[in-house]
Amino acid sequence: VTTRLPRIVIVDDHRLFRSGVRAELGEAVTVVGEAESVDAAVTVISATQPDVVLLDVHLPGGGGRAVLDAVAAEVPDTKFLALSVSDAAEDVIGVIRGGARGYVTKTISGEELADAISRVAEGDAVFSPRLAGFVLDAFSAAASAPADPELDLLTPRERDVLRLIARGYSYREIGKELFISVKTVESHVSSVLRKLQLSNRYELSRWASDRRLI
Amino acid sequence: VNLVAVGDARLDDRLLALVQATREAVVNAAKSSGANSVSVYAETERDRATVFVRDRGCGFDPAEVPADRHGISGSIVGRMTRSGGTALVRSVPGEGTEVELAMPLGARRANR
Repeated sequence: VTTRLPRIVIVDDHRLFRSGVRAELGEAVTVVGEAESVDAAVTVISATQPDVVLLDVHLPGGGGRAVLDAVAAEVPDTKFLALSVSDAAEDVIGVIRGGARGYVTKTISGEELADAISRVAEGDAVFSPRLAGFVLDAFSAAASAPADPELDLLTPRERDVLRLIARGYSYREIGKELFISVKTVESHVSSVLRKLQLSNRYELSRWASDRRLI
Repeated sequence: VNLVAVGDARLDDRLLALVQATREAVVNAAKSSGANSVSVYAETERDRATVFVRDRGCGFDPAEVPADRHGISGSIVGRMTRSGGTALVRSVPGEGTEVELAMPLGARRANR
């Protein structure tokens, strides 16, 4: 376990937001770069190869997904954490399927964000309550038969963990509630992330685009 | 107030009672807990709807609530039980409060 501070790049098109994040995170991270557009983000991420990129979902020039598509393969050790005010399911699912290790909303506190960054830096997944709700909805048991049960269904335990995240519980509180360790909570969340990224189930994209129309 | 909703259902008078009880619980949390935010999680399944209202505020000791305080028992628990649902309050002083509301769906006459 390294005690080195995570090196991060902040990608957001609002300067005031970037400086706010910097100030909130304070001593918890080393900010090695900032970018306000897709092109600038691709340049600064390949140049600095940070541990974690805080990636705004909405950006001029294609959005967070375009950054992931352009640069993620080039920097295999860099983890992406999506940060957004957007509640649009399609955007959220889009960046996760593009390779982001987590999604948090901009209402998050500085302390929680610092915690999310170090979790993602260590290879774990981070779900906001809203993302957990999205996943429960998209993988709802009422949907039609899965093509690949391994990837297209959540286990009862994974659903338990997601429900508690959606209820606003921290990983530590979830562990206590379900009588499992924080490590086990993390492994359930990582497993859900993998399913979310790899599942081919038709409902996932249809569900997300349906939500956009409302 | 951070709201997360899963599933969907047609609104009837039992669900309306659930919504009103949820509102009471949220207002209660906002007024009394001292917490900065309140989490609301609502899920509808085939046979029931469940809502959790949670805050990380001051909490209270349920055993020490005076009998003349009708806030929670009257407006939340009463509303839920009259409509055939249940309400459960869990609170730990210093850690916060969670109100769990559950309402069965479908087969209206069955529980009369």
